[in-house]
Amino acid sequence: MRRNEVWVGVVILLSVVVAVVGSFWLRGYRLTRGTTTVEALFSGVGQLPDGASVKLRGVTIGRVNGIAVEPDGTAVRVGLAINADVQLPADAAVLIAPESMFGDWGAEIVSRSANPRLDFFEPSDPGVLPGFSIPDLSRLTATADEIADNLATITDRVEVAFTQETAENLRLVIENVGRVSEQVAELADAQIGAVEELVDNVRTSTREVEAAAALATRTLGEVERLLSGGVVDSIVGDTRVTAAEFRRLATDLRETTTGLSTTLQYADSTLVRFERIGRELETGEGTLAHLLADSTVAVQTQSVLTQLTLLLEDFRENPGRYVRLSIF
Amino acid sequence: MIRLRGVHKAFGEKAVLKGFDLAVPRGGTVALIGASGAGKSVVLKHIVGLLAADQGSVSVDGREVAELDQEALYALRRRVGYVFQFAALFDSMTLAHNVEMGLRRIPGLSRRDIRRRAAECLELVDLGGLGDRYPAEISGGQRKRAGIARAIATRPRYLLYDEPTTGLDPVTTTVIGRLILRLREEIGATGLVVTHDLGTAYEVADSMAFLHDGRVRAHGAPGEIRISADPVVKSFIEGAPELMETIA
Amino acid sequence: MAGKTLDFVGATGRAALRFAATVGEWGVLMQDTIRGLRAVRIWGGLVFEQMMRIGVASVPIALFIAAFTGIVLALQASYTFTGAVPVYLVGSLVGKTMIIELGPVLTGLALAGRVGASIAAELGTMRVTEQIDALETMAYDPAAYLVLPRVLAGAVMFPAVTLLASSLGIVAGWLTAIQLLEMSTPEFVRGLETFFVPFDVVFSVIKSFSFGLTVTSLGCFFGFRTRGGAAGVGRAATSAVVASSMVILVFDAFWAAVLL
Ligand SMILES: Nc1ncnc2c1ncn2[C@@H]1O[C@H](COP(=O)(O)OP(=O)(O)O)[C@@H](O)[C@H]1O
Ligand SMILES: [Mg+2]
Repeated sequence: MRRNEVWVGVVILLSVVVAVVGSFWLRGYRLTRGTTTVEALFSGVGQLPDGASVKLRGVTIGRVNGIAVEPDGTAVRVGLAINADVQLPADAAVLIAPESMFGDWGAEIVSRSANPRLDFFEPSDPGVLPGFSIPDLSRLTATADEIADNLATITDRVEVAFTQETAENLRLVIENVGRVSEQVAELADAQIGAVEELVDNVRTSTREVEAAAALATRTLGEVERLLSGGVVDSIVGDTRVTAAEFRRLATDLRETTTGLSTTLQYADSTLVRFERIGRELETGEGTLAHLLADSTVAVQTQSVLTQLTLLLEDFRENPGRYVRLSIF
Repeated sequence: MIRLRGVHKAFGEKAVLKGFDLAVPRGGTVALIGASGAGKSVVLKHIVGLLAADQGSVSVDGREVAELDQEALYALRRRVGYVFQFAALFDSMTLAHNVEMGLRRIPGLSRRDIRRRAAECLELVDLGGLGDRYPAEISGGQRKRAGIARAIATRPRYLLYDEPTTGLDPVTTTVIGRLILRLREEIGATGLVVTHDLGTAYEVADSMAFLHDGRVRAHGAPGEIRISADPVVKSFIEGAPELMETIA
Repeated sequence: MAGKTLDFVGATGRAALRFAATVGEWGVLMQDTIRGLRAVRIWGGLVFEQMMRIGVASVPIALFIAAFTGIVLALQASYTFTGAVPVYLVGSLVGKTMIIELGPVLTGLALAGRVGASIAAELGTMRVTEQIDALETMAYDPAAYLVLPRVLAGAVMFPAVTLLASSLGIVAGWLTAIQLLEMSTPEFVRGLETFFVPFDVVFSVIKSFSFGLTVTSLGCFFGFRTRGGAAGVGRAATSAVVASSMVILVFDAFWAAVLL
């Protein structure tokens, strides 16, 4: 009887210890190091799960420990249990982003001054870190779609006569489109820097993209000149050729890597619209007098373009943040 | 006093008891005889509530067995010792442990008392030194006696023996027969002995009942049964199946 | 033709009724068992022995099965993931599968054979040799004396054995990953950590707890209703194993549907 009791006790205790210690261990609690808890506020936390890893400069230094919506419902408070011996940056802020395509999100502690463009949540309590959740790919694509829609609207208004004012607006828009296409090219470059395996094939493609972008810019300059009264047809032809070439290259890139293709998607759709402008100009009344009806669409488009530009800049500076989405 | 009146019992289609009557008065020993499969064991199981009658009444000390709640039924079972046909010893326990089982259910009995009384009971059936043996390690006759020791441990008022001598050699049969008589003297228990062994029945019983076709066919002192003119009884007692055919 | 069809319909109906009646009888036994809880004096001293026989004695077979399952999971995962999926997911697959599925279910099925059959055979023998009747005549409630200690021991020990088995399965998977596959310990551990949530352990305990109740209660049930000598005992053991295995798989699906 006594022996029975000992053995039963051993098996039960052992299983409980294994389960409890194992669970804690897998949740990242190591007995050897002490942890401290810091808190951060976010306007939203995406798909961050409790227990996700917390990184600093790419090194795991702790775990997310507690996620709760603030009582007034305006923010989310996230606890971060991090190793006590790690020194955080003076202007520490917390970024939340997906770590892989499998949906395991993680938190990263960054220096706020190094990320001026990100729209961090501002906590009123100075002890709480500001937080920002990176928009995921679907949001980027949505922005690109919005731009494409606006351009399409502009195109639809082609038949309507345009005034001096709208001509001026159009000039501005076209200028911006030129800048954007330049940035698309740079972005492609940045992507490639982050993804080593794509090297050769993609590099040549990129050079062609750059050349095409330059050509597009030149063409747009011509369009500008044209506005003050020039030859329509040849310019329009130029534009169309450029756009077609641009699109072919985008297709090339898509075949090379799915990752790049998603980020280049909006460039593609923009250019489709661009091509349509050219075509409609040609088949229209043969004059630019019908180009734009009202200036609101142009203004709207400009503000969206500004957003996209900001996003692209961030994209270019921190490609890793976005590249993670497409490559493991 | 144990009394069964008009008891009917069927298992599925098969009617085993069809209006069975029997009375076992305090202090007496009744032998219930009958062919194998006649339903003798079924009668005993009704008395301790292991089986419930379909119809009729079974009472012990004036209380209807079927109407007892669990506590009262356990109290009744402590007053009744049951010796099973094949002993039904718990084969995972030593003989001493087997005998102690019933005693452990009696409140207020110390561990030492339990052990002492178990040893006494084994002594009483001449198994004094075998308390540490397991049922598989002893002979059939010893097993029967161990079963008796287990049944008498709680000092029951009634003892039910289910074929206590069946399958034993003549010497052991006599030993068991004497043991039953001795137990009546020493613990004063009322006995109901189920058997188809007539020698034992004549030796231990002061009255006999013959079970046939679900009823008591004949009832009386051993002397009366022995000279019964009923061909069915006669056939059984003389071991002559031809006699049965004369009534068929 | 019509007669044959009717026969078939009738047979189906009879089988369904018999099944319902069997479930009902099992329910009655369980009710008696729960009522038996009051009689602590009867079963109190017996639980440890049953924990020993049902739990401790089953540890070796459970560990053996789990170790090989862990090895096979790691090998098959790496084979399946080649190229397309990052290799650290081998750790996720081994950990997740061992904890929430194969640990509890394989342990449950192995113990259905080992424990369920032995309980049914033991109680079946006690039934046909009238030992259960003897218990009753000695004022013991068989549900409290025989069923309760076994069911309690199963309810406690199945989860314990399962937790040990799952853990060893993961260790075996890890050893396989670092010895046979070209993985490092941190990689494997990263995979383990990535999808682990503590609820997995709770889920495993709930499952194996229900398997413990199933195997022991069905073993007792089929043992208790044994009829007809040695052949009957054999039939009881077989029925107990078959029924427990089926109920385990049904419970497995049930818990996955209800709790996940
Ligand atoms: N629990 C039971 N279920 C079904 N049939 C039973 C049961 N107990 C006894 N019987 C049947 O009742 C009849 C009488 O059995 P029993 O009393 O054991 O005879 P015996 O007079 O030899 O002791 C037998 O035919 C037996 O098959
Ligand atoms: Mg009998």
